[in-house]
Amino acid sequence: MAARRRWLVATALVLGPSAAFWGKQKPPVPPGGLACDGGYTAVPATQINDDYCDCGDGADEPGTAACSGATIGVATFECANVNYEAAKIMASRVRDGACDCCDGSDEENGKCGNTCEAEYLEKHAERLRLEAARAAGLEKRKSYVAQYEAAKAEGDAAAATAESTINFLQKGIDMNEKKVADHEAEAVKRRDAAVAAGDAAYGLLAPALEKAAGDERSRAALELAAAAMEIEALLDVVMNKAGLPDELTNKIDDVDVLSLGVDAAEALVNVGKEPEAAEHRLAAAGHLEKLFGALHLGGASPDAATAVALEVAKACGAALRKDGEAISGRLAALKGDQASLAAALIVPKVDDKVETYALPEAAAAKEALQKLKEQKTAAQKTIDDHRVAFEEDSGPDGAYFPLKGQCYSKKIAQYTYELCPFGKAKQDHTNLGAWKEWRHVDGRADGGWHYANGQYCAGHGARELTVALKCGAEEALGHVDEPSICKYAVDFHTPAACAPSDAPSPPERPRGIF
Amino acid sequence: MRSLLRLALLGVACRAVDKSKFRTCQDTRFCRVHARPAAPPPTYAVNDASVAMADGALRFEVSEGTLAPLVVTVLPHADAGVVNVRVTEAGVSRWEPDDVLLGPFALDGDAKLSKTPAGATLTLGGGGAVAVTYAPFTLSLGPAGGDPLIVVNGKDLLHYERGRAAAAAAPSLGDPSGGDADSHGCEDGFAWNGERCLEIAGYWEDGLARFADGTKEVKTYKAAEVAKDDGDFSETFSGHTDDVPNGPMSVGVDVSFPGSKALFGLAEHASQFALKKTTGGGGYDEPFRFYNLDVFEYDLDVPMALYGTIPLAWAVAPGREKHSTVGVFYDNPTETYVDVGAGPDDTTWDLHFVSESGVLSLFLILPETPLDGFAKYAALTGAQELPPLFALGYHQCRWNYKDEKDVAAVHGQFEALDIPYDVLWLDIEHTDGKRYFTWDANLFPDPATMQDTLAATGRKMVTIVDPHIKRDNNYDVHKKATDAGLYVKERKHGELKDFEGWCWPGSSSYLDFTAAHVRQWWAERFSLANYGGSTANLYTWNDMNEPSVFNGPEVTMAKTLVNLGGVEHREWHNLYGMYFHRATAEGLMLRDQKENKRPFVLSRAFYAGSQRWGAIWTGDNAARWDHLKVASQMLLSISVCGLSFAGADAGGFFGDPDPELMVRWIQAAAYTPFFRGHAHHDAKRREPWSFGEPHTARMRGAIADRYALLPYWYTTFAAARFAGLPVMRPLWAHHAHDADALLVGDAWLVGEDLLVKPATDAGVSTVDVYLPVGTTWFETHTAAMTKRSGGVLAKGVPAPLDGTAPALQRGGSIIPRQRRLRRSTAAMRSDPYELTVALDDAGEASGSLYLDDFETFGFTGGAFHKSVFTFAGGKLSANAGNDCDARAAALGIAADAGSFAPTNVVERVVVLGLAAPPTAVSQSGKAVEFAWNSEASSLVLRAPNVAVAGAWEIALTF
Repeated sequence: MAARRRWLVATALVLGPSAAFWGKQKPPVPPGGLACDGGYTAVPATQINDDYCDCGDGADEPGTAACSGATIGVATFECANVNYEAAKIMASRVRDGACDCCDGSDEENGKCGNTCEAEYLEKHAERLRLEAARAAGLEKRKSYVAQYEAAKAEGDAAAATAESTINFLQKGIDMNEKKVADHEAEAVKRRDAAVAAGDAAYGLLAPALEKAAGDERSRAALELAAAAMEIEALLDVVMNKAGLPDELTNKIDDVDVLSLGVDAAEALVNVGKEPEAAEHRLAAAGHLEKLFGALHLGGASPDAATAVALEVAKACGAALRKDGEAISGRLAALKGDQASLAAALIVPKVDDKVETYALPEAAAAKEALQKLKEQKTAAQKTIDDHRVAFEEDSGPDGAYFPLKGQCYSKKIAQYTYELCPFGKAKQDHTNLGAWKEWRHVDGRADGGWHYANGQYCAGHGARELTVALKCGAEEALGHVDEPSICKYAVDFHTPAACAPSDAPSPPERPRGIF
Repeated sequence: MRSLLRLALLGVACRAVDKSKFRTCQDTRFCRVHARPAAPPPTYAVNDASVAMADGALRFEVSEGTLAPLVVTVLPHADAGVVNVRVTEAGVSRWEPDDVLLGPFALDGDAKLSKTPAGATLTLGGGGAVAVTYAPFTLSLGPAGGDPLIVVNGKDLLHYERGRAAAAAAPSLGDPSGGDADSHGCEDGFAWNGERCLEIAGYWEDGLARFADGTKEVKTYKAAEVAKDDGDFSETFSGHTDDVPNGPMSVGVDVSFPGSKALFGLAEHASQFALKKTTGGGGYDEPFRFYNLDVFEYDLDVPMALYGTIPLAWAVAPGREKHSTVGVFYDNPTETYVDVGAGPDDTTWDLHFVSESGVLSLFLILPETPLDGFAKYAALTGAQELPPLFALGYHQCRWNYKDEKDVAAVHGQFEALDIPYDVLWLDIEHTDGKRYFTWDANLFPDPATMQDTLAATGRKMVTIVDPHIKRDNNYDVHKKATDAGLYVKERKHGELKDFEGWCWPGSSSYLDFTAAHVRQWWAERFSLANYGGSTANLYTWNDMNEPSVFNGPEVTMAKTLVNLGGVEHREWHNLYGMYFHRATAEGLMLRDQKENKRPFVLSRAFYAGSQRWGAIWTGDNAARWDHLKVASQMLLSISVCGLSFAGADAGGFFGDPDPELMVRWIQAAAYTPFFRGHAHHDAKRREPWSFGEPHTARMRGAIADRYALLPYWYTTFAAARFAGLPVMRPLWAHHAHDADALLVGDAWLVGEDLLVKPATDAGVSTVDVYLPVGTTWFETHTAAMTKRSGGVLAKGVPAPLDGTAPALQRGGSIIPRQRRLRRSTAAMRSDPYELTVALDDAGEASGSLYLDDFETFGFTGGAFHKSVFTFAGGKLSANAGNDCDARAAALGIAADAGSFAPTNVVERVVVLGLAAPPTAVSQSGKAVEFAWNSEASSLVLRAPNVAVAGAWEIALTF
């Protein structure tokens, strides 16, 4: 009698069994047989592990590769591993020519050697190494926590002291602030009177002086500008070499100086060509006038203005070596006129700064106030530092506290990596980011750190680093990886990451092997 | 003053359009003059007194009346229906390679010449006839007494430029290759960055200079400088001047195909399978171009040149009872443009070939059937070499797997997720500074152990080896090549020196692979002793072999460079890639001589005949749906050009595919001959698990399906090796009389019996498949295995993302599989087989399975087995077949020696198309268990366990 049984064949690898395909009735399971495909397929005992796949879910062939297409990714084959720990491999590995079970039971007899003992020894050695490191790490970790606690106690005391100091200082500050305000009001009153007198004098002198000086100033300006062909040299002198105060140089418009140079150059090019030359001379004169005006209004003394001219002459002389002497000569001749011109421009100017009219005792009060404020800031910083140091970074029990301010580096392949806990991370000179926050890594909320905002990486944003914290006997950088472009990952071993709970369970020792 | 001048310059806009760096016909003197002539070319006529037979060849003179006559030689091959027509200049021989064609070819000893006053006829022994008309000169081939089916010079476009002696007429040459004039007047070593001249730090694959700060050159040309013609002896394009001391030597001729409805071939172009017209409107304005080039981020639907050249075309006339398909192979490796045209109603298609130089030689092919045509072409340039089985598995590549840890991690994921793969690839970054045959000692300190680890699970590794050699005297390969004088030369200041061009390693030189002794020397580089860190499980990838020269004209060598024989690069340009591919394949054969193992080498550049040396791929495509779509069109074109082992990078090289595109691409690529996932280094990881579930399972399913079908793939590859048949075939290969099947380029046949139509649009879940007239098909990619009849566009064929590409099995066929999921092809070696018998309407089916050791050349000596399965009269039988006909013998295969006898069994037979289940099934009197699935009307025979290589019979009783 031909056997006509309902058994299933994986006709397409990706398709599971279909109840409709086989009818809705669940067949009875013969003695010793098994039900699979949710009960819609029954396999007799003789067809279990007979190297033919009857079940759509592959349940009938855990001992062969026949159902490897149905049991993808699931380890179904039990390595015999006599006297050693049990292990399972995927059906696709069975009788495939590669040794997968350590006892070789997945291949034909004699094909593979028994490597269970070697595997045990390797695992054992690795376990011992990890255990030793963990023990040392846990011991060291205790001292880290102790350091944290001692430092925290000290910090708490200092913060408390600072708090009471601040209360005391505030009283002095309040008192001195009132004094200073009173003095200020008095000084303003005196200054206003002096300025009123000065304005009256200027109204009389200034128009006459300006009229007399106009032509000469233009001529001097053109000469100066002509010398300043190398406009960068002029800028340099005006901005840096003449020793003018910043407040002054800030008022001088770069554009004016540049325009001056352009016009001066054009004027030179157009020498002998009227009216172009005259037009440019005039323009240059205008620019230089603005420049001198700025110098003057900014409070430059006549000597300083003259010094500027001389410096320009020197600088330009150096820049235009071949004409240097001649230009210096012209500038030297001009010096007298320039000096008198500058002098003529000095309007008896009244000092309008309030400080000039301050009372002698005002300075002392101000100084006292300043000192008190500084002391208060220092006390506040003590409190803030304490909060940052002890509340944010050190981990739940402060074990990471001693790592602060430290840096660890390691050369891996051609790069040297440097990791500063709670600081920065680098690959050679490339910034991989600054410590940003704790990260959930390896199933632990405090299992890692995230470093962000590293050096920009074209097309991939700023570099970033994820640090996986691993238990170790001492601090050391481990494996470094770049899982995607410019996103780095590193293992960092430290006693601070050691926990007693996650020690690996030792593999079973092969019995009868030794 | 200088600072002021700079300020002034900033005010001037200097942004011009960056014109394409690749030439068009209009930019090219010989094309402009001959393919787009201002006036019709002179008419040639035959000197009737000269027409005569000698040594089996017909010879005669043709002349246009002014110059000395040309000699036409007609060589009818003993292989019936193949005729070689050569046009030469009397007393002048031009350079041509002597190792591209398989020859020497036996000639037709029975050819008979007869003459009339108006023409001559050469009646061939095999039934065809060559007809020559005298004035104007035309030559045609067709069946004896029938209409001509291939007509040469029917449009009177024959031209032949004789060149001129350089001494008298040509201007004196300074530096022919040094004419890289920069329109911004930057000095040597400097280039324009859009604002100023900056010192050049290097060049990149886009052909532009790179500066130290990482920015790139901005190329702008005045219109006159883009293409400038300085008469016959010099022309300039994009700042590169090509001096032509020998003067114009171009050749060209037209070929038309009376009655044809479409043309195919002319690979490689990023265009549709059925060739578009390039004249007369309705297609392209430019001719198809052949000039092997590294085209960075290539465009689609253009006739531009690409990496490879096979000037072979097939004309198909579905209405014609016999000779439905005819072909022409235009064997010229110099720069070539081909115009495609057609007569009224798109009937009678024609080609016009125009080449810069070389020999004018045509092979006219008049086969009985398309398959016969493919076989005849294989007899000319060689059959696809049979790849070792592992090369048909899945290849995982990326630019770059960074280091040994990365390799271990990728390998480990395939292992952990039970995804089969056979080869892991390393791109250029694995080397020590792009010095091929070396390893970066930091990243790959122990490459041999790494390869051994992969080999322990049957996996192989491929490393890249490119033809540019870094100019570094401490680099052994460069030093030896320099000392032995093996490099291509350039003329500088009147002297020949080793050419220096720029590629990945920086300044590089290029070995002259056209020279046999250089190829031999190169082959020796692959010995385990010479290639440190290599093992017997290491294979090779040849890239950039067009050759790519970043700072050269059109990113390749200047045409004026010369090989060691003094022959200009313009003569052998399109051969360089193949010679390099060949030298590498010969290197691996030399390394594995003792084991007689087959090589595996992937190349980007190719020419007619490259199929003898390994695989090619379609280069740097992109992660876009349109690139997925064009892949099948390009691969079909390459396949009908005799190069079967071809693929497109799954996922698309540039850019990032979304999970759907990636899954669809893996599904489609699993049904193409060469199956590799690859990615650019700026692209995200895209290994099968990179997108998470459900995508991982989908890709694994598609890959596993490929592996299950490998017995069928391997059998189909054997047909390519033994009989010259393409592995991936257009519908017209088997259905040339079905006009509706003619233009299909988005579906294909794997072998004869599997019709594949992948989903290549986002969001679809079905596809429409045209099924040829007179056929039936079974949807074997679904559980329902629906039967469909041909002659219609079958709508709504399921194309699930959770499945494989739609693949229908032909009614009347038997397809072998190995269904068990394994980690690699090596791990499948002793697995049993499954046969799917799909019955035709007469209740019959047949199929075959080719078996050998999967890795050596032993099969050429007869160490193989072919099982032929037949189902008829309710009986399934197996018998030994033997494919060693004269065709296979000519391709170097000895008869089956019976020395190969595998012991694998058939564990399952699935029969589709039975009307009702049998009442009993038996084999040699023994009952075979079976089950009937009434919904799919499929019968499954359980564990007959007959020898797959045995002779047996299984009888069904109804």
